[in-house]
Amino acid sequence: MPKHKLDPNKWVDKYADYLFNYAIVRVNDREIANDLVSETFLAGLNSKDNFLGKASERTWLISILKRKVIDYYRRINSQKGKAEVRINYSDDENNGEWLEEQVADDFDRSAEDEMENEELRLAILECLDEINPKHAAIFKMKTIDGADTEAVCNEFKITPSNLWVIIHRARTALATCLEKKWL
Amino acid sequence: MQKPKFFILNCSDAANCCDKKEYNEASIREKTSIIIHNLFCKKCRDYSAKNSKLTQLIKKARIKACTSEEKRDIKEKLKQEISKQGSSSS
Ligand SMILES: [Zn+2]
Repeated sequence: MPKHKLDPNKWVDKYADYLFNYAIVRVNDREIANDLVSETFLAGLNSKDNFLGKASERTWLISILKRKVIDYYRRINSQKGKAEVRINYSDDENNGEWLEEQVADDFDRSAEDEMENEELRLAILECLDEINPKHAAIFKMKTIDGADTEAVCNEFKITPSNLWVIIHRARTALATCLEKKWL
Repeated sequence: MQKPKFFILNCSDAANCCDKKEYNEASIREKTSIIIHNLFCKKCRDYSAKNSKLTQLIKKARIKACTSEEKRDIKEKLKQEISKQGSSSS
């Protein structure tokens, strides 16, 4: 009997944020990231008979998404080539060079930050997978979206004191989960 | 929670104030009460420190969540595909 099983009905609630974060860092566009996430779930569904249960659901879905991201880069490759040519046709040669250097520098710095933060980002989302999904959703809306208490209470039909109990449990669980490596 | 009397809190109320503080929703009275409570309570002092570190970490991670509409769209697509598969296999 396989250790891990697939449950596609829960995929979006459990993994959409995780996959979305993985994708958006790489493609830098919300809409495309969302498309890649949907494509990943559909591809996962269509090849679910190939799932052996050796890896976790999330690891398996991420491996599909990785391929989708590579496919996406291949698809846009020709368009990217055109953009590079356009930079070389700048009117003022020096100005063009300066711009290019500036862009490269900014890119390097933000890419480095991104790599550093990505591990943390995915670790947080992994930890949130371990807690009650409704509590995780409430915690994310309050903490990550920064929604005010009233809005969260309306959305989930809970009282403010319920909200704070849930937030407290989520924060405690998250701190315990992150403790070894990050806190 | 009950309004703290003379700034005296029990530990669970202190934890609640501490959580609110992380979301900038603690009143001045609550903030003062935590400071006083934490002077005498190591457990809550540790919790406060860990809790604010957690806030910093979450900020640093700059997590981008899907909006509920985006999730609904993805769910819809997935549902259609699941029902398609169900009808083709039966
Ligand atoms: Zn205490």
